[in-house]
Amino acid sequence: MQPCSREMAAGGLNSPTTTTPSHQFQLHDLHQIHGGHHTHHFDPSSASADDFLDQILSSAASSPWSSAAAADLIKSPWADLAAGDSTHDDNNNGFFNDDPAAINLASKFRHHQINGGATNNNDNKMMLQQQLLMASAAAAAAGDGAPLSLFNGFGSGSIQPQQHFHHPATQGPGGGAMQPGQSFGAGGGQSGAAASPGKAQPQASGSTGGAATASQGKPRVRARRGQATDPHSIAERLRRERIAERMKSLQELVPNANKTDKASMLDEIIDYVKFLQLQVKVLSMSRLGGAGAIAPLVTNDMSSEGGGGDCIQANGGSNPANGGGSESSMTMTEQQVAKLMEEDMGSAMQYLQGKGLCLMPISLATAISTATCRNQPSSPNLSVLTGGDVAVKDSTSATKP
Amino acid sequence: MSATTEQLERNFTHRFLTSLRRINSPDSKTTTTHAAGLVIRRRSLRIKRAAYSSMARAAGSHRAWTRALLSRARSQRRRQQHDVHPNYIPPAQRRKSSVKRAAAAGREMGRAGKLRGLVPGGSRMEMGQLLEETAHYVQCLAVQVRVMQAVADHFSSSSSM
Repeated sequence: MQPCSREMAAGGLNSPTTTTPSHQFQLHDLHQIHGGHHTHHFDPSSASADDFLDQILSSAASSPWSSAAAADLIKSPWADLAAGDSTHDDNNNGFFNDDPAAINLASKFRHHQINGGATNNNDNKMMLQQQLLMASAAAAAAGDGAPLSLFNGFGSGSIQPQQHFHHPATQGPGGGAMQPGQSFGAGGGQSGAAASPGKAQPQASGSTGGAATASQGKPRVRARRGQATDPHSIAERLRRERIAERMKSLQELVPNANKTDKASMLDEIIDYVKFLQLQVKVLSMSRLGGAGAIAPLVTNDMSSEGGGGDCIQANGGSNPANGGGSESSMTMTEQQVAKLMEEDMGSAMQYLQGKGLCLMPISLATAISTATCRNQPSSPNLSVLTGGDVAVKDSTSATKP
Repeated sequence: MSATTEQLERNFTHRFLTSLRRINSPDSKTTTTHAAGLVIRRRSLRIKRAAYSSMARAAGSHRAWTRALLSRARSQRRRQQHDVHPNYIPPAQRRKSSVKRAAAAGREMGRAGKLRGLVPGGSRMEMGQLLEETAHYVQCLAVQVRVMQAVADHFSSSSSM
């Protein structure tokens, strides 16, 4: 893998033709180092091979004019996070609906589904999918189901890279303060760089700065000689630097941030904002809990905040999973589940999960029950209903996932 | 997760749950005679508005987008209280600045215009501020989605079908 990335780095570096050889060498060096970084981090992510290739190619292409060191350092931990499971994607294929825009958003952010922190993501995703199916049937917004369910772990994962962002942020202003002085000094000498597009060659005109500028270089437009002292161009350059900084910080927040082009980066940002707003809309449609369901949650919060306040009495419907109930209720549940299973597996699962129950093979159920019976003197709330080779077990007895 | 994000999350969760309780508990506003489907849709709209408002309040008013969002919500609520359709813009206002601003945002080179349309108050900002506000907005949206999802999961697991 490593030689491959180095070759790509070399290939990418050769494209901007007017960089000085010393610069090429330094950037190449830097990129070799971070090519090594990349491979260490990318190896586990076997599931997203095209992402891996994308990121190698983009890091190779972007090294000339983006901050090679900082950006790659940022990308590698992000790739670590992004290496999380794409196994859930298979579940979601069956739920595609007919909204093309939502499906586009879904397929775009698919690869970056991240299992951030929350351990019960699997159940939540299934639950939310089915819930959204029901909600979409009710609200006739069929297309929203698929994208939301794909990106459950999204938000939690996307916050993390911010921590890594702070390093280039502190570097950036320092580098920016350095640059104007150097460009003033170098302004008198060079005329050859006038032909090259400013964005692609930030380090070329600042070659006197050497490695320092290369490591801290940002997509900065250089002022040509004679215009360096013009207040308008200085203000213009500062403004462009500001914008580039902001774009960089946005790059950390938004996934798929391997775009080198400012325009495509903006597109990505726009799509991501649209996607998040779509998620909010769908989540607000799915939140059809009754009055009683909120009360326990709110009173918990209130008491922790020190409020206390008035409590709404929770109605009996909000707590069905209390100890498995009597035999008759379980039999009723079982019959209901069996009936639902004939029509549609999804609704059956949703019904079960709404009751706080889960489905598992009998062998596993007996194994768990014997294990827990051995550990605890009192038998946990286990009501086992036999239906063929599966058992319905009260989820309160198992540790919460 | 940084400390400010946690604080934001807690603040937003508290406000959002409070407003949810207000929406869910039956009061004079909600007991109108409508078709069942319409009730669901209206309720989801209220929840969405409540989510955005609580997030804007939780994020603080030192951000331009929160101020813009809250002022938009306030004018929407005022229009609704006068029993007018919330999407209906009074002719006087429509004639003046909103059309011009919307046209300007749309006329601007494609992408930036689209972004201004997405971020609340974006049409009034210039590029640098727009990007900064977008970054903060995205951060807050992510928190909002995460919290709303957790609440939805809690409801779906604790409510009977």
